[in-house]
Amino acid sequence: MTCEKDIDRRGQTAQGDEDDGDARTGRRGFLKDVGKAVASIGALAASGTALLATKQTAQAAAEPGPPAIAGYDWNEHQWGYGIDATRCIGCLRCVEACKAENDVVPTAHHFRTWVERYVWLEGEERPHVDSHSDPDNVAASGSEKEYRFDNRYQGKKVYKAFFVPKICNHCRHPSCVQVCPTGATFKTKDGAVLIDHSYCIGCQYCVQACPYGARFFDPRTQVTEKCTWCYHRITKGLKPACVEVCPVNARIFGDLNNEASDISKFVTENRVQVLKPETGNAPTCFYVGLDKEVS
Amino acid sequence: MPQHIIRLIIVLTVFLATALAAKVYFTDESFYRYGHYRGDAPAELAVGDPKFRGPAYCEKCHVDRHVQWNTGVHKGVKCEVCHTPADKHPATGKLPIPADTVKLCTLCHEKMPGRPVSQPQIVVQDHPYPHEDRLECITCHNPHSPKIGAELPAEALAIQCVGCHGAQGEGVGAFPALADKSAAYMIEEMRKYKSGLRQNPMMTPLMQGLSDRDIEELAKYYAAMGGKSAAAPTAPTPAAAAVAQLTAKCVGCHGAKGEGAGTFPPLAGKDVDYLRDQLANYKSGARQNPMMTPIAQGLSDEDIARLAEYYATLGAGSASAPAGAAPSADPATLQLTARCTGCHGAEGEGMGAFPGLAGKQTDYLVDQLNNYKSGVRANPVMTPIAKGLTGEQIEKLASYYSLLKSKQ
Repeated sequence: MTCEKDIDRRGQTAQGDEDDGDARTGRRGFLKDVGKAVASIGALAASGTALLATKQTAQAAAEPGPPAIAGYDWNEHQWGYGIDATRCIGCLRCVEACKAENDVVPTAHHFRTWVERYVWLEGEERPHVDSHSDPDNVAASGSEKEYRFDNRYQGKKVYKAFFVPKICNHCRHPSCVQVCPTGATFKTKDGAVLIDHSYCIGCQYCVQACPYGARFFDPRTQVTEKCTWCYHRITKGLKPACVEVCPVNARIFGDLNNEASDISKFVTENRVQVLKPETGNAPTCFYVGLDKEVS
Repeated sequence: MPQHIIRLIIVLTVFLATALAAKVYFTDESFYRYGHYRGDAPAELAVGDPKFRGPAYCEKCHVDRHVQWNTGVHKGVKCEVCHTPADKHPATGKLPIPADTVKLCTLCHEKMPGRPVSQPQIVVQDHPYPHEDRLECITCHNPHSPKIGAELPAEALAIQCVGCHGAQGEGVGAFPALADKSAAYMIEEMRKYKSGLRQNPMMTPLMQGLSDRDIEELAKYYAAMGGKSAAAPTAPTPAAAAVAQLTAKCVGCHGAKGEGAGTFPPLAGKDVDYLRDQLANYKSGARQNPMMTPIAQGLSDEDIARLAEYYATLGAGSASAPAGAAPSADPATLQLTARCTGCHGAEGEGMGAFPGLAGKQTDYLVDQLNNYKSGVRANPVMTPIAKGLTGEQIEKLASYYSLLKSKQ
């Protein structure tokens, strides 16, 4: 009996094993199901992407016209900026004009453009560098809204000194645009690097990514701010405010597409250089008269 | 398939579908138009009125100071650098005249390491102050043309006077004559305006733009005119034949009597030296103009002198025929318009904030002038002018300007 029972049980057991295989509820079956599921999800995702892609290709094929700016076609221009540091007198009219024109935060520490002073004293290896936001310079002007360089080196033995205006370089390969997670900052077809404030989430990745320190965070609006080359002026045929007010023509602006423009002449008639070429950012802001310490 | 796996697949599918739908829904329609950004953003950023309007905007009204600035070494320093942006001017009032000129001027001219040697710089403590009591740069320097040794001649400075005080300083309406005053008196009064001891909305800012030397020159200039204006010079008709031949080249554009037409400036009554110099400049090429240059090059020096003399005397001669461009204008009316042209333009075309008069209806102009006269309309410039006009003069002026063609 016992033996029969055993056999029977074994039979049962054997039977059970076979049933399992048929129903495919084993490991193999499971893997097959997962495979199917992944494939179907993949297909879904692929079709979704394909849908988006078609939408985009359709748009690209339609070749969108230039942005709706009256009397202005950005395909016709390629703006460039020039700075002749040998002319700068450090009057800081550009910094004040920029702030007035663009309603920049009215404190000494928020600015879209600035001017640095490099001074080597006799016997010293490294230059002293300051700008309008230096506390002593703010004290000299007596206001956070007006700027002037104090005369701190008067009477000292100065080996060499000069001023260097700085501004966003409107790079051809801007790192700020690369890191922006929302597409808030972008490069326009005419060469300007702009910020769409309605898409900026204020994460400040771009502030850190910029090798030139050209961006800052606006505490009033909680978004990042930067030079726009006065996009509202240049699209109306005017020059940026800083160029407009410079009394010594140290700042030059114009259309690189136009051979007769100020900037084309500036670039072709001078030996120009850019700041930090090693970053690969390819600035469109060209300098004359920099020393090797300037970066 | 076990239930929990099916559930997992459903959850994942729903999540993906929702995410995809959300992306499509929330992405701005213009987002991929030009790249990975909102395509409408560039146009939005291009909106906005420029605040710095440039010297051409200022010139429309401040012709006199624009001329001073434009010919001097401060040409590169644009108006709005010192006077602040003009975007809301004149709607919201005057722009500031810098009070602390030492602070302002030293922004660029304080001797400082780093400034290029070509930049004029002073050590403030060592700079000579001839007027120890008034340590202001504008005591000696005209801010619009500051170079000592290259000061403007009195004739150029007087551009800012003639609009109200008349071409010969003879005074117009409520604006006093200058030609009959002594130089010492005028210097004293002009300095009072400059320092603010005497206040006047037109005179104070004008004087603050002049150096002490300019004030002295102007005073001497007008004092030397003494009496000239009183005796209205009668026009001796120049030897007719030769001149008539010469003027044939001028009348086509400048009018039969040199009264000017459209953009072509009037010649009648211009200073004889000025006319001669300008023709000589065209001839030599110092001044370039596609029409004037070839004409002037065809003239001998003697011809130029004759022409200049002819046109200079024409204007002063009250006997000369009425201007061709404005048939209604008799000499008396033209004389009346002298008080209008300074602000409303030579042809009543208007300048900047000053409205055009040309082509306005006669009745409207009469009414407005009467309103100023009676005080119904008040204006610091118009009221005194209108009060100096008789009813008949108002009628004449109104009909004159209504017949001029509006340029708009």
